[in-house]
Amino acid sequence: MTARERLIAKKVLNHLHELDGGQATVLEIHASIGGMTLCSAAELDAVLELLDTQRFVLFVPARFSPTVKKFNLTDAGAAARLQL
Amino acid sequence: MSTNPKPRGGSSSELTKLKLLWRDSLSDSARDYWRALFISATTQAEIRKTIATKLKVELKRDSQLTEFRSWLEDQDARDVEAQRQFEDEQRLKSQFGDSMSPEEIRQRVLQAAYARAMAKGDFKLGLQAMDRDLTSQKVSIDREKLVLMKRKADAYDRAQAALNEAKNSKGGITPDTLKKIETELRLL
Repeated sequence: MTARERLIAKKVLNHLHELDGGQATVLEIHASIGGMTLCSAAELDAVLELLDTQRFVLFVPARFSPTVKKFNLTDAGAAARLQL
Repeated sequence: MSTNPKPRGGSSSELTKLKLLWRDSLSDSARDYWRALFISATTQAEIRKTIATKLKVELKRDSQLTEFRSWLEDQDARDVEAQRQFEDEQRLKSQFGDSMSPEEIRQRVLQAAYARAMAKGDFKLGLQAMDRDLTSQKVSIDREKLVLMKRKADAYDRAQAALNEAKNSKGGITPDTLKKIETELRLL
């Protein structure tokens, strides 16, 4: 992970941690971590893909649309959050 | 992309178990059942007993159930907002997909989300958006101050130059020179 990806990843994992077992969509995550002033949509999508690959987050389809993903933190993600 | 639920090995509190059950295992109809129970006249103690019987989760205190219901309420509110954001995105894509980039569409959706959060006043997001707005306003004010200071400095320099020119000329300070200096000084 680059330093920038690490920065974005840390904010994503922190936000998911604050949900305390809850889930969030990409849009909510983006809004909560700083919006477009922090990173572009493409950057965030790439970081979420990275986090998913490393099993730090888990996603399920949202009930209101199968194309919308809702992410939650895994145990590995909770541990990684402290190390990033 | 992962779609299978992964077992959590961390926190083993009963409250966490209940949250994960709710998030990962309960069907829509099961959730509807529990939601109806939560808003019924059933006491918290009876609800906890039912949870223990049906879900095998032991909440020993009413405060744990209260905390769970609060968490659920927050999650439901997030889901409503998530759906709204998705609909905004879809609408913008269908109306402006040819003329707006995905990044611009995302920006618009987020702006609308911030506006809603601030209007509600009780969503943490609204405070973040306000902080950002205040910061950008402060930056804008600082920038304007800087521009004004530069204008004043330039006006002072021109006034000083006019004065020096007048002093060094044969005619001394003429009415025209005075007028010029006054004009520059009005900017100070």
